[in-house]
Amino acid sequence: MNREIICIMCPLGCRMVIGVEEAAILHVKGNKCKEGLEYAQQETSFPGRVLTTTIKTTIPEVPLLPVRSEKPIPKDQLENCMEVIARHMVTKPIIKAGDIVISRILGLDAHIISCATIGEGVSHEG
Amino acid sequence: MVTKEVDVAIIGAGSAGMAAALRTKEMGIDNIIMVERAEYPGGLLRQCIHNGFGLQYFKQDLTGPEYAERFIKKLASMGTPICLNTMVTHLYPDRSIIAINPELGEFKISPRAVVLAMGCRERTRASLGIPGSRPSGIFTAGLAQKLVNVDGYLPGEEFVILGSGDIGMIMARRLLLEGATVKAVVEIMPHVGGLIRNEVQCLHDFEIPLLLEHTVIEIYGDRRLEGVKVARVDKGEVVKGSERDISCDTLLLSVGLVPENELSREADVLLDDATGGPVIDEFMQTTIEGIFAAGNVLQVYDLVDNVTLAGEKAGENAARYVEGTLRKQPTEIEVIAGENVRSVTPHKIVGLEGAELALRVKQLVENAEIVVGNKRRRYRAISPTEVMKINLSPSDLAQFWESGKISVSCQRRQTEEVYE
Repeated sequence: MNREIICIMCPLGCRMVIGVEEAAILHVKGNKCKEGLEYAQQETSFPGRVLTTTIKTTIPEVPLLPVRSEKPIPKDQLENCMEVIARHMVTKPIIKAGDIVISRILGLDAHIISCATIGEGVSHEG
Repeated sequence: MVTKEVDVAIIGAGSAGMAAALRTKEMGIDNIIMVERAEYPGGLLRQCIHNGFGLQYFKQDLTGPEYAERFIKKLASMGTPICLNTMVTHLYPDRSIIAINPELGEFKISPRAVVLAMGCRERTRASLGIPGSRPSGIFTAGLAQKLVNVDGYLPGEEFVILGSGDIGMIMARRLLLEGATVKAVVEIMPHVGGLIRNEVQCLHDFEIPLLLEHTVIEIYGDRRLEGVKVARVDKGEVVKGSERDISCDTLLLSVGLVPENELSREADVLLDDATGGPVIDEFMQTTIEGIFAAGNVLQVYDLVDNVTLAGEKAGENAARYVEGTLRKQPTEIEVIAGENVRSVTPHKIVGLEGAELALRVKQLVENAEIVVGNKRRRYRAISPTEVMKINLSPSDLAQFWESGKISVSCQRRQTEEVYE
């Protein structure tokens, strides 16, 4: 099966056609350098993305906590993860950057972690 | 009026201002003040919840809030307070500052050096002059980003995004993941305005329609936006017969950023039309002695990592200015933007320590070469979306003191060779 992908390794954005069979690359055409091959390899074997979003909190001054998946999750699971996150609410008074907010979301090998320290844990007043 | 006498005053606590404050402090200057009009430090980073920050500076892939927190924590650990909720209303050529906040009311700051780190703002509908009615439901992409990511409001249900800058494309994905519909991203150029990475990961991944060589030519709606008319554009002209309506309740504008220099103007700081920011030397000093500038107020950067580095340089040199260790030559070398270079900073070289040039090209060049004086650097491709940096050593510059000029250009190479 042939797939067209755009290489993101440099501003050229080569349009590549890759022939794939059972996650194995048969050929890559259209890339102008070897980085294109590496990108094609990566997009074929594990097309993952880091999911970044927010979760509601019970802290009035900080209604949303920015969160991320600790590591890339499969592209086709992003929207399912968003549904789980939308139903979630952070109720702890203090959260630190890096704290696990949802562990192993959807049973995947990735936690949803906090990107910021909120609550009593941080003060900006000078 | 209360007057605060300080060594260095930093206007803005975004990524440039925080880096400048940290470096000033590290240089041993303790009597500094940082003023920030928002209620939190970090500037734009707080609402940029996506990842891709810090790949160069920290060699890690961080989100905006994570990147900001590293600096906020470090500032706190070094005992550098930030005057939040504080608006600078005036900056004068003698460097004195008038500011206002709820605790002190109006107060004066008398600094020996100033770092301008006010950042940039978004272009609005007014700067595009799109005809039509004036309903609610038209936002700049960055404002919508703050509403969605910080305040927790989705400002509409069906979106059209005009302009494919990075914020526009990132917002397209964000809105879609939050359950809204993105009907189209409309871009007047034949290619996206932002990074290829964002075109692929924000638009293609989610099958969001991208209309290249199109623009919005009319806005409909009485109280709330009801739709927009889009059309194909060919060589700056709307193609007759290509017009069509797209119904939507919200239009986001991602059509460029403008350095915010009202205060700089008041202080008689000379500005460059190409960058929209102050004219500077390699120490980041503006044309007004003791006033330095860094970050998006100087030129709109591509990566926050570069903003941090610029902030550090400005902070370091502001500290040296206070210490009296900045050494200038009696003459200077003017840096000239040559072939295919849209803008370049610094605008002039005044010292003997070498300089780092930061430039943007006008056109995408494949198999490219940047030529500065006798120095040539090769690249696979250079795009107008990137800020390119070139280091010039004192010896690279030595022969240019006599003519007082050095030109930088970017051209296509004829032969294939090894790239850097």
